[in-house]
Amino acid sequence: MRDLVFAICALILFYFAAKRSFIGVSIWLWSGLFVPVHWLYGFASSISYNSVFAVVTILGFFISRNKAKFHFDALFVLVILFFLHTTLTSATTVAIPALVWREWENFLKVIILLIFSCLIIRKEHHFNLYIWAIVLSIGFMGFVEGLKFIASAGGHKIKGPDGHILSDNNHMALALCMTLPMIAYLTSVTKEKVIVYGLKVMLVVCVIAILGTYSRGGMIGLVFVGGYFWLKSKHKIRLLFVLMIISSIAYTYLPERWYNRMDTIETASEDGSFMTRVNSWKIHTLMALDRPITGGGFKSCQYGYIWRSLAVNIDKLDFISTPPVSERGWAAHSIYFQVLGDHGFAGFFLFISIIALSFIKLTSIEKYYRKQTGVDDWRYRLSKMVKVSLLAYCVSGAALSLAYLELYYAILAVVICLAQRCKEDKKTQVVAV
Amino acid sequence: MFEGILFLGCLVLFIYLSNKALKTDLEKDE
Repeated sequence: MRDLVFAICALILFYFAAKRSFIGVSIWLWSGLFVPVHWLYGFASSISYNSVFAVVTILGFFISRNKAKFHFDALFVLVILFFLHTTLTSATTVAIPALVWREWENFLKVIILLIFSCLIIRKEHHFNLYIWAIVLSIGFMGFVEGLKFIASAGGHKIKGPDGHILSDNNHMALALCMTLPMIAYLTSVTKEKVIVYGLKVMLVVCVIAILGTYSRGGMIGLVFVGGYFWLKSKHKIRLLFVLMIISSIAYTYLPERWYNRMDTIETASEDGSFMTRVNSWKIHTLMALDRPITGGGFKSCQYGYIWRSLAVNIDKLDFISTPPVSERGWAAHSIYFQVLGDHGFAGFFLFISIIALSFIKLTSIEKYYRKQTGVDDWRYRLSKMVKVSLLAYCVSGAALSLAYLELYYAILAVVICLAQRCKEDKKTQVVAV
Repeated sequence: MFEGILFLGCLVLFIYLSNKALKTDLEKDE
């Protein structure tokens, strides 16, 4: 039954995607983040919806006569350079080429989505539907999991669907931290009161879902996002009241082991799980020292034989004492060290430059619209919320291997599109929607 | 069952929003 209903809905969405490429690119993003097949069990689960919507969008874009202008953008160039560099690191990998190219292929799909998003999204309703795609995928998953967590009185283990990139509780927590500002943005631009009310409920449930993941990185990300909202809010007392409600719900449902888990943030140096991560960071740094330009290629340090060959030189980095290195390879457990090991110092420099330039661009966009149109302008609000989302990624991502997360590149696409929009507005000096 | 209803709700909302965005785009084109 669920498959039949979904197949009908997918056909309707297909119609919209074919009509306008901005709808197509939003559904493409939604199907990439949500991966509908994880929610289906019958005949409809054998179709790659992501590929279908990608093809429809790309064809629709080339057929369309009203293509948006694309101005030169340094951030866009940096992202493309980073991708080209990953192609080089894949070609020169020290790991098994077939497996590395498979990872490269996945990253290529993310970059193709980013390119078309940058070429298509320009108007307010384009941006809003694109943000809705994020909220109705990641936010929806958080909402469902959060409700299950509340219904089971804290017994439900929160994670994404099996086989999904967010099936890891820590990954889920990071994605939700990045989605919270997007939900907040939509509450400020949506006109339908019922939907705004639904979004506010979703926001609260997603916060509870983050707590329910037991993720320490997620908790730190939540503190940063929450702290930012509180500091920038005009309604500090009201927000404090909401925080008290969430805290009281959380206090009722969160068991003793949650508090024990969070206590280990303070004693990280004595925590085995954390020290394994530090060892992994050292191995990834050693790979970069060994191959500064090309690194080892996607996930190369995770291969046992490569890991062990690098572990021989672990004493080079003995300024932080860690327990003996394990025999089997580990994931980087940090977006920064992941890129460092996979693509060397050259890739790391590009990755950091992308993040830094995104923040610089967003600050400049924010300043421009605050001066021109005031704080109620949607472009000002969006740039502010995107900045918080990126901040959550940079903070929580420091302990997770999510350097190629589709959601992050979708957010980067929003930054590039906002910059494009800002350039057009500056040219015409007319900032009407 | 409950998850299925929410899933359907999510799809219906996305269709509604896509339709609304299409209408807005058509109005702007005119």
